[in-house]
Amino acid sequence: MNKIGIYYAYWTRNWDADFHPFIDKVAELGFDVLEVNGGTIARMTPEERQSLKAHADNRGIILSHCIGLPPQYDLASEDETARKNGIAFLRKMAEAIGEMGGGNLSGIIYSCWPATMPEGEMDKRSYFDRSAASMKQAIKAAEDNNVIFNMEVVNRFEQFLLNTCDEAMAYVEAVGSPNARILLDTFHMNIEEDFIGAAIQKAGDKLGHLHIGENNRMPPGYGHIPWTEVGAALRKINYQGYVVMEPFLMPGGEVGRDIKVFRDMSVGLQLDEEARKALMFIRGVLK
Amino acid sequence: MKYSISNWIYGNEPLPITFQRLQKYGYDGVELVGEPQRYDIQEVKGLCQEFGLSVLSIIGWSIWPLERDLAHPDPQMRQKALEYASECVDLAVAVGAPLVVVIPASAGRTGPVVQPGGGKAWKEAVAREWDYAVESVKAAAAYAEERGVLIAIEPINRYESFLVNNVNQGLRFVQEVGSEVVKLHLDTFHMNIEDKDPAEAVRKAGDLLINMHISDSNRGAVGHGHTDFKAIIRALKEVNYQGILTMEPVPPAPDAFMAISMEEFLPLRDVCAEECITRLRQYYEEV
Repeated sequence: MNKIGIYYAYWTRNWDADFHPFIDKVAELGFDVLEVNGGTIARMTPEERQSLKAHADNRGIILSHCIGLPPQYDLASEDETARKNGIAFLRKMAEAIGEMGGGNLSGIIYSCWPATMPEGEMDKRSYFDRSAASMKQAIKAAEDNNVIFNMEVVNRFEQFLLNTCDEAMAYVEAVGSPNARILLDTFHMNIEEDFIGAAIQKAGDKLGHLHIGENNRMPPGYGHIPWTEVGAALRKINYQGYVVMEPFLMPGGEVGRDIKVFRDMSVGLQLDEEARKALMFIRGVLK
Repeated sequence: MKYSISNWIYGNEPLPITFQRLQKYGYDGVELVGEPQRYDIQEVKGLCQEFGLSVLSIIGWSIWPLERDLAHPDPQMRQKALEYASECVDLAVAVGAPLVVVIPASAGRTGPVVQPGGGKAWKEAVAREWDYAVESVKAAAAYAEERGVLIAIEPINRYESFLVNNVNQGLRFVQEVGSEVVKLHLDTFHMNIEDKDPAEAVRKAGDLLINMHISDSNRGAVGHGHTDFKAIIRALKEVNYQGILTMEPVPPAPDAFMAISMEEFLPLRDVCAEECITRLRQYYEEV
Protein backbone atom coordinates (compact mmCIF):
# COMPACT_ATOMS: atom_id res chain seq x y z
CA MET A 1 0.00 0.00 0.00
CA ASN A 2 1.26 3.43 -0.89
CA LYS A 3 2.02 5.93 1.85
CA ILE A 4 -0.86 8.36 2.04
CA GLY A 5 -0.57 11.99 2.93
CA ILE A 6 -2.35 15.29 3.10
CA TYR A 7 -1.30 18.87 2.43
CA TYR A 8 -1.18 21.13 5.50
CA ALA A 9 -2.90 24.03 3.68
CA TYR A 10 -6.17 22.10 3.79
CA TRP A 11 -6.44 23.59 7.28
CA THR A 12 -4.79 26.98 6.87
CA ARG A 13 -5.65 30.37 5.41
CA ASN A 14 -2.00 31.36 4.85
CA TRP A 15 0.85 29.59 3.10
CA ASP A 16 3.37 30.14 5.89
CA ALA A 17 2.60 28.01 8.89
CA ASP A 18 4.10 26.25 11.86
CA PHE A 19 4.08 22.62 10.76
CA HIS A 20 4.49 21.06 14.22
CA PRO A 21 0.79 20.96 15.12
CA PHE A 22 0.00 19.40 11.74
CA ILE A 23 2.42 16.54 12.38
CA ASP A 24 0.39 15.59 15.44
CA LYS A 25 -2.90 16.15 13.70
CA VAL A 26 -2.20 13.98 10.66
CA ALA A 27 -0.59 11.29 12.79
CA GLU A 28 -3.74 11.13 14.91
CA LEU A 29 -5.92 11.02 11.79
CA GLY A 30 -3.92 8.01 10.56
CA PHE A 31 -1.93 9.52 7.67
CA ASP A 32 1.61 8.44 6.76
CA VAL A 33 2.77 11.65 5.09
CA LEU A 34 2.43 15.37 5.76
CA GLU A 35 3.14 17.57 2.79
CA VAL A 36 4.61 20.93 3.73
CA ASN A 37 5.70 24.10 1.98
CA GLY A 38 9.26 23.71 0.65
CA GLY A 39 9.86 27.45 0.81
CA THR A 40 9.14 27.57 4.52
CA ILE A 41 11.49 24.63 5.10
CA ALA A 42 14.29 26.46 3.27
CA ARG A 43 13.78 29.58 5.37
CA MET A 44 13.97 27.71 8.68
CA THR A 45 17.19 27.52 10.69
CA PRO A 46 18.99 24.14 10.72
CA GLU A 47 17.90 23.73 14.36
CA GLU A 48 14.26 24.33 13.45
CA ARG A 49 14.52 21.79 10.65
CA GLN A 50 16.08 19.19 12.93
CA SER A 51 13.37 19.75 15.48
CA LEU A 52 10.66 19.34 12.83
CA LYS A 53 12.27 16.21 11.47
CA ALA A 54 12.67 14.74 14.98
CA HIS A 55 9.01 15.48 15.70
CA ALA A 56 7.91 13.83 12.45
CA ASP A 57 10.10 10.77 13.09
CA ASN A 58 8.76 10.54 16.57
CA ARG A 59 5.18 10.43 15.27
CA GLY A 60 6.05 8.14 12.35
CA ILE A 61 5.23 10.83 9.81
CA ILE A 62 7.13 11.30 6.54
CA LEU A 63 7.49 14.87 5.29
CA SER A 64 7.06 15.64 1.63
CA HIS A 65 7.60 19.10 0.16
CA CYS A 66 5.82 21.18 -2.38
CA ILE A 67 6.04 24.69 -3.81
CA GLY A 68 4.88 26.89 -6.67
CA LEU A 69 7.79 29.24 -7.26
CA PRO A 70 7.13 33.00 -7.29
CA PRO A 71 8.00 35.00 -10.46
CA GLN A 72 11.35 36.20 -9.08
CA TYR A 73 12.48 32.54 -9.10
CA ASP A 74 11.09 31.64 -12.53
CA LEU A 75 13.38 29.09 -14.19
CA ALA A 76 11.74 29.74 -17.57
CA SER A 77 11.98 33.53 -17.39
CA GLU A 78 13.57 35.61 -20.12
CA ASP A 79 15.28 37.46 -17.28
CA GLU A 80 18.58 35.79 -16.46
CA THR A 81 18.55 37.11 -12.89
CA ALA A 82 15.23 35.40 -12.19
CA ARG A 83 16.55 32.13 -13.59
CA LYS A 84 19.73 32.38 -11.51
CA ASN A 85 17.78 33.20 -8.37
CA GLY A 86 15.40 30.34 -9.08
CA ILE A 87 18.25 27.87 -9.45
CA ALA A 88 19.79 29.15 -6.22
CA PHE A 89 16.48 28.82 -4.38
CA LEU A 90 15.95 25.26 -5.63
CA ARG A 91 19.46 24.44 -4.41
CA LYS A 92 18.67 25.96 -1.06
CA MET A 93 15.51 23.87 -0.74
CA ALA A 94 17.31 20.72 -1.88
CA GLU A 95 20.04 21.28 0.69
CA ALA A 96 17.48 21.95 3.42
CA ILE A 97 15.62 18.75 2.58
CA GLY A 98 18.94 16.89 2.31
CA GLU A 99 19.79 18.07 5.79
CA MET A 100 16.62 16.33 6.98
CA GLY A 101 17.68 13.08 5.35
CA GLY A 102 16.45 13.74 1.83
CA GLY A 103 13.07 13.25 0.26
CA ASN A 104 11.13 14.98 -2.43
CA LEU A 105 10.38 18.47 -3.66
CA SER A 106 7.37 18.73 -5.93
CA GLY A 107 5.35 21.43 -7.59
CA ILE A 108 5.80 24.18 -10.10
CA ILE A 109 9.54 24.26 -9.65
CA TYR A 110 10.25 24.58 -13.38
CA SER A 111 8.68 28.03 -13.78
CA CYS A 112 6.38 30.13 -11.59
CA TRP A 113 2.85 29.98 -10.24
CA PRO A 114 0.40 31.13 -11.34
CA ALA A 115 1.40 32.13 -14.85
CA THR A 116 -0.30 32.57 -18.18
CA MET A 117 1.48 32.75 -21.50
CA PRO A 118 2.92 36.27 -21.83
CA GLU A 119 0.89 38.59 -24.06
CA GLY A 120 1.74 38.21 -27.72
CA GLU A 121 3.69 34.96 -27.29
CA MET A 122 2.50 32.23 -29.62
CA ASP A 123 5.03 29.53 -28.87
CA LYS A 124 6.13 28.23 -25.50
CA ARG A 125 9.17 26.36 -26.82
CA SER A 126 11.65 29.02 -25.71
CA TYR A 127 10.21 28.92 -22.16
CA PHE A 128 10.49 25.15 -22.14
CA ASP A 129 14.12 25.26 -23.33
CA ARG A 130 15.19 27.94 -20.87
CA SER A 131 13.49 26.09 -18.04
CA ALA A 132 15.05 22.73 -18.92
CA ALA A 133 18.51 24.32 -19.17
CA SER A 134 18.07 25.95 -15.76
CA MET A 135 16.73 22.73 -14.25
CA LYS A 136 19.75 20.81 -15.49
CA GLN A 137 21.87 23.02 -13.26
CA ALA A 138 19.51 23.06 -10.29
CA ILE A 139 18.92 19.34 -10.21
CA LYS A 140 22.57 18.64 -9.40
CA ALA A 141 21.72 19.84 -5.91
CA ALA A 142 18.90 17.29 -5.81
CA GLU A 143 21.30 14.54 -6.88
CA ASP A 144 23.82 15.59 -4.23
CA ASN A 145 21.23 15.78 -1.45
CA ASN A 146 19.16 12.66 -2.01
CA VAL A 147 16.18 14.65 -3.23
CA ILE A 148 13.76 13.88 -6.06
CA PHE A 149 12.36 16.85 -7.99
CA ASN A 150 8.81 16.16 -9.19
CA MET A 151 7.56 18.46 -11.96
CA GLU A 152 3.90 19.18 -11.36
CA VAL A 153 1.58 19.03 -14.34
CA VAL A 154 -1.16 21.61 -13.80
CA ASN A 155 -4.11 22.92 -15.75
CA ARG A 156 -3.97 25.72 -18.32
CA PHE A 157 -5.41 28.32 -15.96
CA GLU A 158 -2.53 27.94 -13.50
CA GLN A 159 0.47 27.54 -15.80
CA PHE A 160 1.13 27.18 -19.51
CA LEU A 161 4.33 25.15 -19.66
CA LEU A 162 3.45 21.60 -18.56
CA ASN A 163 -0.29 20.96 -18.88
CA THR A 164 -0.21 17.28 -19.81
CA CYS A 165 1.73 14.20 -18.86
CA ASP A 166 3.18 14.07 -22.39
CA GLU A 167 4.67 17.52 -21.98
CA ALA A 168 6.13 16.63 -18.60
CA MET A 169 7.65 13.43 -20.03
CA ALA A 170 9.39 15.48 -22.70
CA TYR A 171 10.60 17.91 -20.04
CA VAL A 172 12.00 15.21 -17.77
CA GLU A 173 13.75 13.68 -20.72
CA ALA A 174 15.27 17.02 -21.65
CA VAL A 175 16.54 17.48 -18.08
CA GLY A 176 18.00 13.99 -18.20
CA SER A 177 18.55 13.36 -14.51
CA PRO A 178 17.54 10.27 -12.53
CA ASN A 179 16.24 12.69 -9.90
CA ALA A 180 13.75 14.34 -12.26
CA ARG A 181 10.26 12.86 -12.10
CA ILE A 182 6.67 13.88 -12.60
CA LEU A 183 3.87 14.88 -10.27
CA LEU A 184 0.38 14.20 -11.57
CA ASP A 185 -2.75 15.52 -9.87
CA THR A 186 -6.23 14.12 -10.44
CA PHE A 187 -7.79 17.59 -10.22
CA HIS A 188 -5.57 18.95 -13.00
CA MET A 189 -5.73 15.75 -15.06
CA ASN A 190 -9.52 15.99 -15.04
CA ILE A 191 -9.20 19.23 -16.99
CA GLU A 192 -6.28 18.46 -19.27
CA GLU A 193 -5.85 14.76 -19.90
CA ASP A 194 -8.01 13.00 -22.46
CA PHE A 195 -8.10 9.99 -20.16
CA ILE A 196 -6.83 10.03 -16.60
CA GLY A 197 -5.86 6.36 -16.33
CA ALA A 198 -4.01 6.53 -19.64
CA ALA A 199 -2.01 9.54 -18.47
CA ILE A 200 -0.93 7.74 -15.30
CA GLN A 201 0.14 4.73 -17.33
CA LYS A 202 2.06 6.92 -19.73
CA ALA A 203 4.03 8.40 -16.83
CA GLY A 204 4.96 4.88 -15.73
CA ASP A 205 8.14 4.78 -13.70
CA LYS A 206 8.61 8.51 -14.19
CA LEU A 207 5.69 9.16 -11.86
CA GLY A 208 7.42 10.37 -8.72
CA HIS A 209 4.50 11.79 -6.78
CA LEU A 210 0.71 11.86 -6.96
CA HIS A 211 -1.71 14.49 -5.77
CA ILE A 212 -5.33 13.57 -5.44
CA GLY A 213 -8.44 15.68 -5.19
CA GLU A 214 -11.86 15.79 -6.73
CA ASN A 215 -12.78 17.71 -9.89
CA ASN A 216 -13.85 20.63 -7.67
CA ARG A 217 -10.99 20.16 -5.18
CA MET A 218 -13.24 18.56 -2.59
CA PRO A 219 -11.81 15.56 -0.69
CA PRO A 220 -11.77 12.32 -2.70
CA GLY A 221 -15.24 10.81 -2.75
CA TYR A 222 -17.17 14.05 -3.29
CA GLY A 223 -16.94 14.43 -7.06
CA HIS A 224 -16.69 12.59 -10.35
CA ILE A 225 -13.01 11.61 -10.60
CA PRO A 226 -12.94 7.99 -11.87
CA TRP A 227 -11.20 6.54 -8.82
CA THR A 228 -11.44 2.94 -9.98
CA GLU A 229 -9.60 3.92 -13.17
CA VAL A 230 -6.98 5.81 -11.12
CA GLY A 231 -6.42 2.84 -8.79
CA ALA A 232 -6.15 0.37 -11.66
CA ALA A 233 -3.62 2.55 -13.52
CA LEU A 234 -1.47 2.95 -10.40
CA ARG A 235 -1.41 -0.81 -9.88
CA LYS A 236 -0.56 -1.36 -13.51
CA ILE A 237 2.56 0.80 -13.29
CA ASN A 238 3.33 -0.60 -9.83
CA TYR A 239 3.45 2.89 -8.35
CA GLN A 240 5.21 2.86 -5.00
CA GLY A 241 5.33 6.60 -4.32
CA TYR A 242 3.26 8.76 -2.02
CA VAL A 243 -0.37 9.64 -2.64
CA VAL A 244 -1.07 13.06 -1.16
CA MET A 245 -4.51 14.60 -1.02
CA GLU A 246 -4.84 18.29 -1.50
CA PRO A 247 -8.44 19.29 -0.81
CA PHE A 248 -9.32 22.97 -0.54
CA LEU A 249 -12.67 23.97 0.89
CA MET A 250 -12.42 27.39 2.49
CA PRO A 251 -12.75 30.70 0.64
CA GLY A 252 -10.77 33.77 1.66
CA GLY A 253 -7.24 34.22 2.97
CA GLU A 254 -4.11 33.71 0.88
CA VAL A 255 -4.90 30.06 0.25
CA GLY A 256 -8.55 30.59 -0.75
CA ARG A 257 -7.56 33.46 -3.00
CA ASP A 258 -4.68 31.67 -4.74
CA ILE A 259 -6.53 28.37 -5.10
CA LYS A 260 -9.64 30.26 -6.20
CA VAL A 261 -12.09 28.80 -3.75
CA PHE A 262 -14.97 31.22 -4.16
CA ARG A 263 -17.76 29.38 -2.42
CA ASP A 264 -17.62 27.91 1.02
CA MET A 265 -17.43 24.21 0.31
CA SER A 266 -16.84 23.40 3.98
CA VAL A 267 -20.44 24.19 4.99
CA GLY A 268 -21.71 21.39 7.19
CA LEU A 269 -18.37 19.57 7.01
CA GLN A 270 -15.90 19.01 9.80
CA LEU A 271 -12.41 19.24 8.28
CA ASP A 272 -10.67 16.60 10.43
CA GLU A 273 -13.51 14.16 9.98
CA GLU A 274 -13.54 14.71 6.21
CA ALA A 275 -9.78 14.07 6.06
CA ARG A 276 -10.25 10.83 7.97
CA LYS A 277 -13.10 9.75 5.67
CA ALA A 278 -11.08 10.61 2.56
CA LEU A 279 -8.16 8.59 3.91
CA MET A 280 -10.38 5.53 4.32
CA PHE A 281 -11.85 6.11 0.88
CA ILE A 282 -8.47 6.33 -0.80
CA ARG A 283 -7.11 3.27 1.02
CA GLY A 284 -10.04 1.43 -0.57
CA VAL A 285 -9.13 2.77 -3.99
CA LEU A 286 -5.50 1.71 -3.66
CA LYS A 287 -6.21 -1.76 -2.31
CA MET B 1 -33.47 20.22 -29.62
CA LYS B 2 -31.35 22.49 -31.74
CA TYR B 3 -27.66 22.28 -32.61
CA SER B 4 -25.63 25.44 -32.77
CA ILE B 5 -22.05 26.72 -32.58
CA SER B 6 -20.79 29.80 -30.80
CA ASN B 7 -18.93 31.93 -33.34
CA TRP B 8 -16.47 33.40 -30.82
CA ILE B 9 -14.42 30.24 -31.36
CA TYR B 10 -13.82 31.37 -34.94
CA GLY B 11 -12.14 34.67 -34.04
CA ASN B 12 -12.66 37.19 -36.80
CA GLU B 13 -13.78 34.70 -39.43
CA PRO B 14 -16.19 36.29 -41.93
CA LEU B 15 -19.77 35.20 -41.24
CA PRO B 16 -20.42 33.62 -44.66
CA ILE B 17 -17.65 31.08 -44.02
CA THR B 18 -19.07 30.26 -40.59
CA PHE B 19 -22.58 29.87 -41.97
CA GLN B 20 -21.38 27.68 -44.78
CA ARG B 21 -19.61 25.37 -42.32
CA LEU B 22 -22.64 25.13 -40.06
CA GLN B 23 -24.93 24.30 -42.94
CA LYS B 24 -22.51 21.73 -44.29
CA TYR B 25 -22.47 19.75 -41.04
CA GLY B 26 -26.17 19.97 -40.36
CA TYR B 27 -26.47 22.62 -37.69
CA ASP B 28 -29.71 24.47 -37.00
CA GLY B 29 -28.18 27.78 -36.15
CA VAL B 30 -25.44 29.89 -34.65
CA GLU B 31 -24.66 31.71 -31.43
CA LEU B 32 -23.27 35.14 -32.16
CA VAL B 33 -20.69 36.76 -29.94
CA GLY B 34 -22.24 39.86 -28.38
CA GLU B 35 -20.37 42.52 -30.30
CA PRO B 36 -23.31 44.48 -31.73
CA GLN B 37 -21.06 46.85 -33.72
CA ARG B 38 -19.53 43.95 -35.59
CA TYR B 39 -22.61 42.86 -37.45
CA ASP B 40 -24.52 44.16 -40.42
CA ILE B 41 -28.05 43.07 -39.50
CA GLN B 42 -29.16 42.81 -43.12
CA GLU B 43 -26.17 40.62 -43.89
CA VAL B 44 -26.92 38.33 -40.95
CA LYS B 45 -30.56 38.02 -41.97
CA GLY B 46 -29.58 37.37 -45.57
CA LEU B 47 -27.12 34.65 -44.53
CA CYS B 48 -29.75 33.00 -42.33
CA GLN B 49 -32.06 32.83 -45.30
CA GLU B 50 -29.39 31.72 -47.74
CA PHE B 51 -28.12 28.89 -45.55
CA GLY B 52 -31.36 27.96 -43.82
CA LEU B 53 -29.96 28.76 -40.37
CA SER B 54 -31.15 30.86 -37.43
CA VAL B 55 -29.36 32.95 -34.87
CA LEU B 56 -30.28 30.94 -31.79
CA SER B 57 -28.52 32.97 -29.10
CA ILE B 58 -26.24 35.90 -28.36
CA ILE B 59 -23.34 35.34 -25.96
CA GLY B 60 -22.76 38.42 -23.81
CA TRP B 61 -19.06 39.14 -24.19
CA SER B 62 -18.20 40.47 -20.75
CA ILE B 63 -14.46 40.02 -20.57
CA TRP B 64 -12.63 41.76 -17.75
CA PRO B 65 -11.75 44.62 -17.77
CA LEU B 66 -14.16 45.82 -20.46
CA GLU B 67 -16.89 48.08 -19.08
CA ARG B 68 -19.37 45.24 -19.18
CA ASP B 69 -19.28 44.03 -15.61
CA LEU B 70 -22.75 43.75 -14.09
CA ALA B 71 -21.32 43.08 -10.61
CA HIS B 72 -18.89 46.01 -10.47
CA PRO B 73 -19.15 48.04 -7.24
CA ASP B 74 -18.96 51.32 -9.17
CA PRO B 75 -22.54 52.28 -10.17
CA GLN B 76 -21.29 54.00 -13.33
CA MET B 77 -19.57 50.82 -14.45
CA ARG B 78 -22.73 48.85 -13.77
CA GLN B 79 -24.74 51.38 -15.74
CA LYS B 80 -22.41 50.90 -18.71
CA ALA B 81 -22.65 47.13 -18.30
CA LEU B 82 -26.42 47.39 -18.29
CA GLU B 83 -26.33 49.47 -21.46
CA TYR B 84 -24.18 46.78 -23.02
CA ALA B 85 -26.61 44.04 -21.94
CA SER B 86 -29.43 46.07 -23.48
CA GLU B 87 -27.48 46.35 -26.74
CA CYS B 88 -27.15 42.56 -26.75
CA VAL B 89 -30.91 42.29 -26.27
CA ASP B 90 -31.40 44.73 -29.16
CA LEU B 91 -29.08 42.61 -31.29
CA ALA B 92 -31.10 39.52 -30.37
CA VAL B 93 -34.30 41.25 -31.42
CA ALA B 94 -32.77 42.48 -34.67
CA VAL B 95 -31.55 39.04 -35.75
CA GLY B 96 -34.47 37.11 -34.25
CA ALA B 97 -32.51 35.31 -31.52
CA PRO B 98 -34.64 34.16 -28.58
CA LEU B 99 -32.01 34.52 -25.86
CA VAL B 100 -28.93 36.28 -24.56
CA VAL B 101 -26.38 34.44 -22.39
CA VAL B 102 -25.21 36.57 -19.48
CA ILE B 103 -22.19 35.99 -17.23
CA PRO B 104 -23.05 37.85 -14.02
CA ALA B 105 -19.52 39.17 -13.34
CA SER B 106 -16.93 39.67 -16.09
CA ALA B 107 -15.15 36.57 -17.29
CA GLY B 108 -11.53 36.73 -16.18
CA ARG B 109 -12.21 38.56 -12.94
CA THR B 110 -11.27 36.19 -10.14
CA GLY B 111 -12.01 38.24 -7.08
CA PRO B 112 -13.96 41.24 -5.80
CA VAL B 113 -12.83 44.56 -7.31
CA VAL B 114 -11.76 45.74 -3.89
CA GLN B 115 -9.84 42.83 -2.40
CA PRO B 116 -9.98 42.94 1.35
CA GLY B 117 -7.90 40.51 3.40
CA GLY B 118 -9.18 37.15 4.42
CA GLY B 119 -12.23 35.74 6.03
CA LYS B 120 -15.29 37.80 6.79
CA ALA B 121 -14.38 40.99 4.89
CA TRP B 122 -13.72 38.95 1.78
CA LYS B 123 -17.03 37.13 2.03
CA GLU B 124 -18.85 40.44 2.53
CA ALA B 125 -17.22 41.93 -0.57
CA VAL B 126 -18.30 38.90 -2.61
CA ALA B 127 -21.84 39.11 -1.20
CA ARG B 128 -22.06 42.82 -2.08
CA GLU B 129 -21.04 42.19 -5.67
CA TRP B 130 -23.44 39.27 -5.87
CA ASP B 131 -26.25 41.65 -4.87
CA TYR B 132 -25.11 44.24 -7.43
CA ALA B 133 -25.17 41.56 -10.11
CA VAL B 134 -28.67 40.44 -9.11
CA GLU B 135 -29.90 44.05 -9.30
CA SER B 136 -28.24 44.57 -12.69
CA VAL B 137 -29.72 41.42 -14.13
CA LYS B 138 -33.16 42.40 -12.79
CA ALA B 139 -32.88 45.63 -14.77
CA ALA B 140 -31.62 43.84 -17.87
CA ALA B 141 -34.48 41.35 -17.50
CA ALA B 142 -37.07 44.13 -17.46
CA TYR B 143 -35.60 45.43 -20.72
CA ALA B 144 -35.49 41.95 -22.25
CA GLU B 145 -38.99 41.05 -21.15
CA GLU B 146 -40.49 44.03 -22.94
CA ARG B 147 -38.81 42.80 -26.10
CA GLY B 148 -39.63 39.13 -25.72
CA VAL B 149 -36.04 38.01 -25.18
CA LEU B 150 -34.83 35.50 -22.57
CA ILE B 151 -31.69 35.80 -20.47
CA ALA B 152 -29.65 32.70 -19.62
CA ILE B 153 -27.25 32.97 -16.67
CA GLU B 154 -23.99 31.10 -17.26
CA PRO B 155 -21.97 29.71 -14.34
CA ILE B 156 -18.28 29.50 -15.27
CA ASN B 157 -15.31 27.88 -13.57
CA ARG B 158 -13.27 29.40 -10.75
CA TYR B 159 -10.38 30.39 -12.98
CA GLU B 160 -12.64 32.60 -15.06
CA SER B 161 -14.95 34.08 -12.45
CA PHE B 162 -15.34 34.29 -8.70
CA LEU B 163 -19.08 34.89 -8.59
CA VAL B 164 -21.23 32.11 -10.05
CA ASN B 165 -19.28 28.88 -10.53
CA ASN B 166 -21.69 25.96 -10.40
CA VAL B 167 -25.29 24.92 -10.88
CA ASN B 168 -26.34 25.54 -7.29
CA GLN B 169 -25.05 29.10 -7.39
CA GLY B 170 -26.59 29.59 -10.83
CA LEU B 171 -29.99 28.45 -9.61
CA ARG B 172 -29.76 30.63 -6.52
CA PHE B 173 -28.86 33.59 -8.70
CA VAL B 174 -31.80 32.98 -11.06
CA GLN B 175 -34.11 32.61 -8.08
CA GLU B 176 -32.93 35.87 -6.52
CA VAL B 177 -33.47 37.73 -9.78
CA GLY B 178 -36.95 36.26 -9.81
CA SER B 179 -37.90 37.16 -13.38
CA GLU B 180 -39.93 35.06 -15.78
CA VAL B 181 -37.39 35.67 -18.52
CA VAL B 182 -34.23 34.81 -16.59
CA LYS B 183 -33.22 31.17 -16.92
CA LEU B 184 -30.09 29.07 -16.71
CA HIS B 185 -27.29 28.10 -19.07
CA LEU B 186 -24.87 25.24 -18.34
CA ASP B 187 -21.51 24.47 -19.89
CA THR B 188 -20.08 20.95 -19.94
CA PHE B 189 -16.48 22.19 -19.65
CA HIS B 190 -17.17 24.33 -16.59
CA MET B 191 -19.37 21.66 -14.99
CA ASN B 192 -16.56 19.14 -15.35
CA ILE B 193 -14.52 21.33 -13.02
CA GLU B 194 -17.12 22.66 -10.62
CA ASP B 195 -20.05 20.29 -10.38
CA LYS B 196 -19.99 17.06 -8.49
CA ASP B 197 -22.07 15.35 -11.14
CA PRO B 198 -22.77 17.21 -14.40
CA ALA B 199 -25.75 14.99 -15.28
CA GLU B 200 -27.26 15.68 -11.87
CA ALA B 201 -26.66 19.40 -12.47
CA VAL B 202 -28.75 19.15 -15.63
CA ARG B 203 -31.55 17.43 -13.70
CA LYS B 204 -31.37 20.11 -11.01
CA ALA B 205 -31.63 22.85 -13.61
CA GLY B 206 -34.64 21.10 -15.15
CA ASP B 207 -37.13 23.46 -16.79
CA LEU B 208 -34.90 26.45 -16.22
CA LEU B 209 -32.22 25.16 -18.59
CA ILE B 210 -32.47 26.83 -22.02
CA ASN B 211 -28.98 26.79 -23.53
CA MET B 212 -25.85 24.71 -23.13
CA HIS B 213 -22.26 25.15 -24.17
CA ILE B 214 -20.70 21.90 -25.25
CA SER B 215 -17.05 20.93 -25.22
CA ASP B 216 -15.22 17.98 -23.76
CA SER B 217 -13.35 17.91 -20.44
CA ASN B 218 -10.27 19.40 -22.10
CA ARG B 219 -12.38 22.00 -23.96
CA GLY B 220 -11.87 20.11 -27.21
CA ALA B 221 -14.48 18.58 -29.49
CA VAL B 222 -16.92 16.01 -28.14
CA GLY B 223 -15.11 12.69 -27.85
CA HIS B 224 -11.64 14.08 -27.23
CA GLY B 225 -11.84 13.96 -23.45
CA HIS B 226 -13.58 12.01 -20.73
CA THR B 227 -16.85 13.89 -20.23
CA ASP B 228 -19.68 11.42 -19.93
CA PHE B 229 -21.93 12.90 -22.61
CA LYS B 230 -24.24 9.94 -22.56
CA ALA B 231 -25.04 10.54 -18.90
CA ILE B 232 -25.66 14.21 -19.65
CA ILE B 233 -27.92 13.38 -22.59
CA ARG B 234 -29.82 10.88 -20.48
CA ALA B 235 -30.45 13.70 -18.00
CA LEU B 236 -31.47 16.07 -20.80
CA LYS B 237 -33.98 13.53 -21.99
CA GLU B 238 -35.30 13.09 -18.46
CA VAL B 239 -35.98 16.81 -18.11
CA ASN B 240 -37.38 16.87 -21.65
CA TYR B 241 -34.84 19.47 -22.75
CA GLN B 242 -36.00 21.35 -25.83
CA GLY B 243 -33.32 24.02 -25.81
CA ILE B 244 -30.07 24.49 -27.69
CA LEU B 245 -26.79 22.56 -27.65
CA THR B 246 -24.22 25.18 -28.59
CA MET B 247 -20.81 23.74 -29.45
CA GLU B 248 -17.80 25.56 -28.13
CA PRO B 249 -14.72 23.40 -28.81
CA VAL B 250 -11.40 25.25 -28.76
CA PRO B 251 -7.89 24.21 -29.86
CA PRO B 252 -5.60 22.34 -27.48
CA ALA B 253 -3.49 25.22 -26.15
CA PRO B 254 -3.14 26.91 -22.76
CA ASP B 255 -4.89 30.11 -23.85
CA ALA B 256 -8.07 29.41 -25.81
CA PHE B 257 -8.69 33.07 -26.64
CA MET B 258 -5.34 33.25 -28.38
CA ALA B 259 -5.35 29.77 -29.86
CA ILE B 260 -8.64 30.20 -31.76
CA SER B 261 -6.93 32.48 -34.24
CA MET B 262 -3.65 30.61 -34.61
CA GLU B 263 -2.93 29.45 -38.13
CA GLU B 264 -1.94 25.92 -37.15
CA PHE B 265 -5.35 25.30 -35.58
CA LEU B 266 -7.53 26.62 -38.40
CA PRO B 267 -8.09 23.17 -39.95
CA LEU B 268 -9.67 22.12 -36.65
CA ARG B 269 -12.65 24.38 -37.28
CA ASP B 270 -14.24 22.01 -39.78
CA VAL B 271 -13.08 18.85 -38.03
CA CYS B 272 -14.49 19.87 -34.65
CA ALA B 273 -17.77 21.16 -36.07
CA GLU B 274 -18.32 17.80 -37.69
CA GLU B 275 -17.17 15.69 -34.72
CA CYS B 276 -19.32 17.54 -32.19
CA ILE B 277 -22.62 17.19 -33.99
CA THR B 278 -21.97 13.69 -35.29
CA ARG B 279 -21.10 12.32 -31.87
CA LEU B 280 -23.87 14.10 -29.98
CA ARG B 281 -26.47 12.87 -32.46
CA GLN B 282 -25.11 9.37 -32.14
CA TYR B 283 -25.25 9.54 -28.33
CA TYR B 284 -28.80 10.86 -28.53
CA GLU B 285 -29.79 7.81 -30.51
CA GLU B 286 -27.92 5.46 -28.23
CA VAL B 287 -29.26 6.51 -24.83
